[in-house]
Amino acid sequence: MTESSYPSDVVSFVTGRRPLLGSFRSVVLVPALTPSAAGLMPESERLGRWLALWDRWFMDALHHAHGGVAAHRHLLYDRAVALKLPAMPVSMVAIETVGEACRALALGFELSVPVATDADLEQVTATAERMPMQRLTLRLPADGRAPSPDRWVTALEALCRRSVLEIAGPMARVRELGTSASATLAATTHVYLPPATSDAPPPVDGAGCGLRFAVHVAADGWLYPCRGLVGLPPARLGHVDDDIADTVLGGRPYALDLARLAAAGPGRGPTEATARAGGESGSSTTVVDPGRAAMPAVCLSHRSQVAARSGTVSGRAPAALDDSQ
Amino acid sequence: MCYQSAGPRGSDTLGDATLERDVLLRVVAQALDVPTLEPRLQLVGGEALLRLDDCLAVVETAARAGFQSISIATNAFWARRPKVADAHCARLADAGLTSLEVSFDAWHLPWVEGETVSNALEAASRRGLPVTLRVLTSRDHGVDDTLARLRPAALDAATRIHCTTVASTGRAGRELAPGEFLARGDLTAACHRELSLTVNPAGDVFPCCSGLDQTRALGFGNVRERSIVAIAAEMSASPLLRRIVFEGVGSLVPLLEHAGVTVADPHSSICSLCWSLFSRDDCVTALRALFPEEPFRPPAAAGD
Repeated sequence: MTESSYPSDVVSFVTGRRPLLGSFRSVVLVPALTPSAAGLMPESERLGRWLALWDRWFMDALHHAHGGVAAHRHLLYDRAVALKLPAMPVSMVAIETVGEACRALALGFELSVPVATDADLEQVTATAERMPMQRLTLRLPADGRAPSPDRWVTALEALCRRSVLEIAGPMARVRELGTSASATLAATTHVYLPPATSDAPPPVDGAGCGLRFAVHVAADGWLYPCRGLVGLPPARLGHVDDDIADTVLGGRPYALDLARLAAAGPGRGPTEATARAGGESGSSTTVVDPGRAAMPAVCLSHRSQVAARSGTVSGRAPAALDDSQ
Repeated sequence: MCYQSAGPRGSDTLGDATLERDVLLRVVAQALDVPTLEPRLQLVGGEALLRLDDCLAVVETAARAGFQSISIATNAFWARRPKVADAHCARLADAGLTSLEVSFDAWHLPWVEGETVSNALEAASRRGLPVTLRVLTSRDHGVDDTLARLRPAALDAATRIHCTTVASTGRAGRELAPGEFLARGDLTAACHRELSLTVNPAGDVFPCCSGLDQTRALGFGNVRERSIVAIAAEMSASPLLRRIVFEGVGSLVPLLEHAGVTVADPHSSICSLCWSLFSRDDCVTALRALFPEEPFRPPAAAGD
């Protein structure tokens, strides 16, 4: 089965009082959980070139939106590229190349990275000194490993001066490390992200997908509108090696109604309805899939719908990272 | 308005002002016609959930109007008993609330206990409602002091724990010693990325809820008299507001000093500076002369 199982239409990113363009003003890089021959993500210089093309598309589209830049100037703010690494890489050079590409385009760069050892801490601190980051998330692994408390607090106190800091991990362990006792950290705005404590899918803030949309770039270079649809061919917006004009961003017909999804979400599909019948809304799961742990039920449901309609053999969600990994 | 100004007897600045339900619903139904507004709505207090039924009506209206993120900030007073906490979260979620924000810190302690807040965090989590715990800190009151009062399971039930320093505005500015405040950011910074179109309990509209909304000198409009869309358009075109928002409130200081007004008080943040400038009679008098086209209230009305 092919994408032609879906009716297709050209997506307008520029029409309306609140153009869809606003939902795609940021990029999320979705690395592979394990390195493949192609690597964790598209090669950094290739990615940098694509970011420049995407940024040019965005600025041109803004000029063509109803009312032009004057009416939508606010969409120029809060544009960022976010990357959540599954593991600390041997070298941060590729990450720093992407970060520099973001800086050249005046885009924010947000990095989330697991920190299990003092060496990991040193590596991320050195990167932060070389490359400004809008937001830095440090994730303590679920296996109980952590940097030494002294090094941890010293590093946090240095890092919080450069970025908005987020610390992910069980609060008991975060506190044992002395994090919340640091007066230096307390003098900044910072965020703790406790991990999910049950097998229930994480809650999702808002029925519409618009606040969760971004251009998601998978490790193999395919582009998607959201995390939940990564890996499904009918949901592809294009590829980093395509000219923007040959992608959905540039007017190629698309199988999904992005405007409706942005405003109202996918609605209830058979999977979600079944799940709801079996338990409290938002908290039950019926799909046994190792990738489901960090994906909201509504996203899993929609993924299953898209997979089923396209005849994709498996709606298996890409293994997702939760904040404890 | 939180600790900045609210309390059992109303707001320090505005008295016992409150917005009527029909006004709230009308504003919420119209607000997304403001073209630059993100589809996010937050109800804050005082304590918004003292008016649970009105909050439910606002949430339902907001969901129908197309707001995608609808949250309520609360001190969780309603969560003394877990079953009641569960019931509240269920009603709010069913009405369309997409997230909850629970405020707890040293200054909430006289009125709300840690066990109550823990109940609220756990109830929200059970209901599948994202819940953010918001903690304010000062030199004498760190993050750990607050977290230690909550059950460990409740801490892990929170989706996010957001920590920031208390701002020297409103009641905090009057009651806390200057040394308590931790410096937050750079006084030359601008706030254009931090704005929230705010309707205060008196119905007056402001570009933020961080201090300017608790002053009375500027009057861009009241939602009882004009649509929020018209008021927002006028604010967007205001040279004074654009200067504050894009150049930073610190850009007013040289103008004031040139006009003979001393702005020497230490300020911990741009919010504190802004609140101070628009609260002081001498500053407001000078600004009124410097920006005669702006909708400053007459001195008597501003001081009411």
